[in-house]
Amino acid sequence: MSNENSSISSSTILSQVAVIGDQDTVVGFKAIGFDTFILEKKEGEDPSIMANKIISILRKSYKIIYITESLYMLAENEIEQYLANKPYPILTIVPSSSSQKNIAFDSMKKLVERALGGSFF
Amino acid sequence: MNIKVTATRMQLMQLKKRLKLAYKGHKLLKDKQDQLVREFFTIIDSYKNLRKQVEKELNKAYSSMVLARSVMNDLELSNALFLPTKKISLNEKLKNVMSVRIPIFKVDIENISEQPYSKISTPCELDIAIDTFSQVVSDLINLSQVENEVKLLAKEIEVTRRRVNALEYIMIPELESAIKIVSMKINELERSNLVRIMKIKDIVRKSNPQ
Repeated sequence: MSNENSSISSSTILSQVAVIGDQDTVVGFKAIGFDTFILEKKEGEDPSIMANKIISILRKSYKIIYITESLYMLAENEIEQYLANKPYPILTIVPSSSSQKNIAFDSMKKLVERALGGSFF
Repeated sequence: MNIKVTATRMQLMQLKKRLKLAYKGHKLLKDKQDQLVREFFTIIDSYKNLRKQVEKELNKAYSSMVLARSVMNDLELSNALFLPTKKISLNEKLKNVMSVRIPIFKVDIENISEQPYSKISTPCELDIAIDTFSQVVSDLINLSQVENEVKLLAKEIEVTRRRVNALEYIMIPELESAIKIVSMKINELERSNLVRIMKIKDIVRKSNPQ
């Protein structure tokens, strides 16, 4: 566990808001007072390691956490399982600087369809 | 699942009471569901617009950061941005929509110091990039708040709908059929009792004619 934490850029909580993403995306948010965590998928790495790292960040007492689409995709099930029935953190998916796939919109669409039994988007 | 009760008047009374309660609960939950759906539709539009707007703004911010990175190297950049220029604090309040508690955030953006990095040794592109990023902040937090609201409402609508359906299609029909069965049994008992008395009367009359 301590090994994992050391690979995450900062482990102390300064702000109530955090961003998880790749270097290029995160750097701008750091300037405006968000806590930032740089996670990048290495070649051939087990996705469950990445999921564990993300969950360990979610465990910290942030109010709002932004995560890039690509990282969210890597560990979607684990994240949703962890967040179920927890009021905080509020996780919001943002596009990263390099990829935009509208994942946030699609997952919201699914949620709405399940709640209302039809598409309203 | 069938309701099993003994066919007595006492049980019949209790069943009727339960049915009345079930109807009342069903009506209340149905009203709650309708209101939740109404609330939901009012925020879903604002969510859609906000999401689009934030993504556009973020893209602008990303591209301005790319510009800044193109004129400085990574080390310079990480040195310049080692200290944040702003401090963001969230004031949280709870809004109550049909007993769903929804957090509402008030964002306070505070400039810690005007210049955490030297303006001379950094290009002006960095200033522009930070500026565009700081314009996104309040919208970004607003987006999280609205998105969270949509999620919470959707979950509550789902739960309420299940409850309404359980009452409407399972609980109420079962109670009604149980009431029917019990009252039929009681009527039957009454009739057989009556017939028995009539028979006894006949026998008594036959055995000692006046």
